Amino acid sequence: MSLQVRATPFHGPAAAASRLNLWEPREGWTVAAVYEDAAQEALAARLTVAMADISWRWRVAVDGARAEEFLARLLTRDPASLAPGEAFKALWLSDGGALRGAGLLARNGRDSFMLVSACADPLWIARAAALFDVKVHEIAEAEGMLAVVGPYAARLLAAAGLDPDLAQLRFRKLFWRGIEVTLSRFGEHEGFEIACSATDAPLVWDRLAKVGRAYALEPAGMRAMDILDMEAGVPRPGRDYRPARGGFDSMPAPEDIGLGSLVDPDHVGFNGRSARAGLPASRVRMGIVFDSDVPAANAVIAEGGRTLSSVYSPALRSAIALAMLEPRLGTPNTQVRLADGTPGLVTALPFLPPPVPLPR
Amino acid sequence: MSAPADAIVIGAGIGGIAAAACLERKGVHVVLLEAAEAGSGVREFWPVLEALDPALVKTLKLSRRGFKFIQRDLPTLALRQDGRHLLLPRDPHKAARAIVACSPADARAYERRQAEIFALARRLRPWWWETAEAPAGLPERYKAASAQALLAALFESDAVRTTLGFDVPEPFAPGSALALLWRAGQEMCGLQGARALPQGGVPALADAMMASIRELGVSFRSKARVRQVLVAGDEAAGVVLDSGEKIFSRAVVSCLSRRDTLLRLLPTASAGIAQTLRLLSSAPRRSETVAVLTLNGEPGLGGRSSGGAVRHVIAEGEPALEGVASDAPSPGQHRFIVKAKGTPTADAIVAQLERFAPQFRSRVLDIALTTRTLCPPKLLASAQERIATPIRNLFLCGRDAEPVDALSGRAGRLAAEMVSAALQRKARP
Amino acid sequence: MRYDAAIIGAGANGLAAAATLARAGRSAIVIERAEHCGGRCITREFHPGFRASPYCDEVAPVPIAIFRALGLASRGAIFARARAPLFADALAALEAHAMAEAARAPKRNWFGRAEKTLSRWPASEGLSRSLNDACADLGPGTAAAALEGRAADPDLEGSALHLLAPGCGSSGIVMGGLATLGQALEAAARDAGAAFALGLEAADIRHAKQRALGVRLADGTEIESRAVISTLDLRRTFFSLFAWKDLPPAAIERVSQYRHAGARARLLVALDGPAPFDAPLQLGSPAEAYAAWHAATVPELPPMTLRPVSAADPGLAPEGKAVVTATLGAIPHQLFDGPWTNEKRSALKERVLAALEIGAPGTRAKVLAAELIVAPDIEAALGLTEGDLDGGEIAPDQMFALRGFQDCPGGRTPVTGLYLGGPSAPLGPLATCAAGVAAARALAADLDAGLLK
Repeated sequence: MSLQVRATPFHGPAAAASRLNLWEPREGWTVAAVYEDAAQEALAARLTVAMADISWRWRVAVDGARAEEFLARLLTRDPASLAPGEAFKALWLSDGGALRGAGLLARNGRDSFMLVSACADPLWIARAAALFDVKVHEIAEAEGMLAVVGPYAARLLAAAGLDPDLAQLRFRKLFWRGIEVTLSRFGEHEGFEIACSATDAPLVWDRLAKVGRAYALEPAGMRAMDILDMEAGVPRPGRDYRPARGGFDSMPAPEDIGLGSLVDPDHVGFNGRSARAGLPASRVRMGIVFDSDVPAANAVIAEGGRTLSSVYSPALRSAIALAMLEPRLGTPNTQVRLADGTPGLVTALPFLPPPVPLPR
Repeated sequence: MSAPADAIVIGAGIGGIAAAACLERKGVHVVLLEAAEAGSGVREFWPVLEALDPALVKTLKLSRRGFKFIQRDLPTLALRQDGRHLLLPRDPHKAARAIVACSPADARAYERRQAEIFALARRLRPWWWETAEAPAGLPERYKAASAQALLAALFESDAVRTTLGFDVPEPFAPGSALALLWRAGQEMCGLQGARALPQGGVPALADAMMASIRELGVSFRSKARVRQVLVAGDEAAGVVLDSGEKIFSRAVVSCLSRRDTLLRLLPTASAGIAQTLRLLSSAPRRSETVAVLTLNGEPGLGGRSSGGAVRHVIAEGEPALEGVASDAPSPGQHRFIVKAKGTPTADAIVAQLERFAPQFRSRVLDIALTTRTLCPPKLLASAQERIATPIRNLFLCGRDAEPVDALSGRAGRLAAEMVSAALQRKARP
Repeated sequence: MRYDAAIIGAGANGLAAAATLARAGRSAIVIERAEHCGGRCITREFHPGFRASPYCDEVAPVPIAIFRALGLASRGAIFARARAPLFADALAALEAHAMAEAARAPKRNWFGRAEKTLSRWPASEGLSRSLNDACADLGPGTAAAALEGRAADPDLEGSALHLLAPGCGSSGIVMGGLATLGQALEAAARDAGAAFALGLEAADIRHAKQRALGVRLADGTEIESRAVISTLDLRRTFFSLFAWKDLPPAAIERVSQYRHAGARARLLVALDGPAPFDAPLQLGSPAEAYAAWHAATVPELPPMTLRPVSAADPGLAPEGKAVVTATLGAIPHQLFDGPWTNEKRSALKERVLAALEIGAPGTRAKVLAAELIVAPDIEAALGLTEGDLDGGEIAPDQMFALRGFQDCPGGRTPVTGLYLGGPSAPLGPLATCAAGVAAARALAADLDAGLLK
């Protein structure tokens, strides 16, 4: 058992900003769980602007002459459609069609890609890449990544000297007053990410913090980002589902998690395609807003179905949960009840629209 | 590019020829591709046939093509160091009389047990001989028991145990008791559990089968080595030859091993990443060696002359081996073919034989060794698991697809059934 | 068409009442004098590019059940920094009690009869202390915060009630100023199917024999309804919407005795530079100012809360600039020597800007514009007597059961079919939207009980 802190590149400034010194492990890294008040940080991300250390996200560089061929076999979408500077979200499945991971593939060049994911799968992907003579190496150690989320995100970046003119799922490298950073828009909350080398990380944080005072910028910890993720209705590995780790597993299927849309029906020859049952999901994924403050994860719903993960949403001032329900309960505004009697209302996902950055 | 076929069979081994013949009989137009210069690629390794598929023999009417057996029921002669050799014919009562000299209790047990084993083996034929979904009627204890433990429970004398246990490749491995059942369930020339010697050996079998497919109208092409199987999405769509020529088809059957087919003939990792990695890390471990000995006199093993052919078995000492006398190449000479487990040297084989036949070494004129790897047994896998692959409409029909590595042709027949069913499903919208 | 309910006033209470009734399947129409909805929940551009909510920066918290039921979050009203108010439990108990009372339809209207039932309200005993006494345990700035925009003697028994309905730090701010809340409520009412009559002033409540039958508008149009909810304060409802001779004398006496305490003034300041401080700044002393207010003069240093609203809500000011609001208390609505003239306004403005300079040196030079709003302006804009946003003085004899008509529970009045859903109702100053929803529930209960044919 390791008692060491595995610090992300932003650990120093994050520790300085943390009022409560509360940390949590994420994918083996130590990241701030909350700086002062998770609800407040989540509201800041929704209403003004917040910055969060997402350097714990598993990132690998995939390079090789056959990299595109390898990724076409690995992922449920064809990377041939990506131009350099573009990215898309895709899944990768086991031989039996089970969901092993969900992530984002970004293309740097003809033979050079980057894969970002919240669920690390290093051994499998490295071994699979070796079959194609493609090299996979981790970049999370050397590069920090900061998310800037909120309506004032674009204005904050512009005030700090970064041109925020970037469409969703695009990225570009640029020089920012002497340091090289990659500005991207990959996240679900329609915000921005800034990736920089580990040595430059404290400088990036400070530059943003200095300008951020005028925009009510707050650092946001993982609990706040989890609240945002839940409000966006995005299923997160480990929290809402367990990614398959057996080579021939057939559960969970992407449709069971609600990620069926990330499987391109026109893409053939990806791992696990022949094993997919192709049946429509017998359960439908919806959100539930409870008439209570208390989150209810993994709770049985009296009318049929169960909740997945649950959190208190400070924006909605209610506990919310993702749930798998029987199709007949799948219409919004259906009343449901938990086994303990707590009433809830079924709602379509996402619970709230993403905090889209306002134009300058 | 040539005209598309309904199905392509890669490799004219016994399984490949069987698959091609059965498919053509069902009306599926087949192209059979063989890399060898001419004729089928079958070379004889071991002349004794134990597991040839009776349904195949009947379907292809091989007897009409001149295929005959010179010995329909080879008894086994177990040679012992102490000189008390055991001659075990197939008939349990006769065998029991021979065992009495060794151990009266075993003799009684032998009759009873052999009958039970033979009955159980017959009940399991649908599992190994057809495409049953599950082994009905298989008692649980057989799934994990080793052959050695089963035989030790049934018989007390070492001679009987080791002789019967010789038939199983790994008698101490868990699950090898099933191999005994499989062996007991085979049928040659209408006799259950028999061993037969074909006239002309295995090449004669191959020739007869080739004649039958020529008559059926299978397109056969020699000197046609397949470089790659064409895959469209996750479906087999044809092959590419070494020459670059593409032949399209709706199904492909491969007589090569699973490893060679999925790793060499398919685009990288098309069979699935986990499957590919597993195949890469699992190389076959066991081998066997055949030595063809040319002698200037009779082998004289066990002090007997070879009046009436027997299959000699030496289970004591290293290496364990079995041997049969074969047709003499020229008058005055005798040929003795020996199959040994593992990869012993020629000297070791001769030394082992010398222990049971004095001055054996002096009679040896020439010795030629061939070694091959053995595919591991898959007795608990269904036909679907052995023959189908992760790629749709790509099937296996070689030794690799049999439950036990033995010359059989059954996988070819079953692969043909699966291809025919798949093509019918495709035709129906 | 005969509506189930006519609601006078499209402030937070009126919109919430309309939404509640419409969601329950009743037909409701909201009548509003201004062209827009929201009442005090609006944001005004007081200087090109600079916006602020004119009358107050924050409102009392919206009860959680109403917030969820009306779906305000998904309509854009997301509150930042939602810290729990002081006495949250007491407030929750009060709300529950008031809602229960409203939902209990009386058998008959007992006003003026011998049998007077005084319902016991939770927490009413605990808050009979003086404000200073109660704040001794709570911290130094609490008394000043409780009296923001008000005038009261903090040593007087019962002044601790001000803690229950503080005007600051209770609901949290909503991005874009209070207009976001107003728009969310309007959306909830419209989506539920309520009808609106904007730009029309209610002149009279039509009634016959102590029974409200509808509303007559200033242009002569008549709206027929089975009941009327008035979100105006007590005095305005009864003295401007009825003729005196039509009300029973006991009711007139009750309304005459009802006291208002208009003491609020607001200064909206546009600054040419970043906000000079991050957190609200409190200046002045309410105890000393009270005497001056009582004498109808402007205090030397009026108690004020300076709030840099654009620091937390960057959208209110252009890039690099700031909006600061000053909420003043103890400013009389009518000065002893006459109405508010321009000179008096300028003098007050100067006084406040000087205080701002003391609190944040160097700010005076950056002031681009400053708009002063005093009680008469509030009265003119929102129709609240004496510009009192609380709808009546916060005093022990005017709170809980005694706010409104003590013998008519749940916002009911001596006039059958007329309900008080505004700040003069028991829940009025304690929670936003609660009084309107309580009145709506009382109306619905009475309709179901068949009392309103």
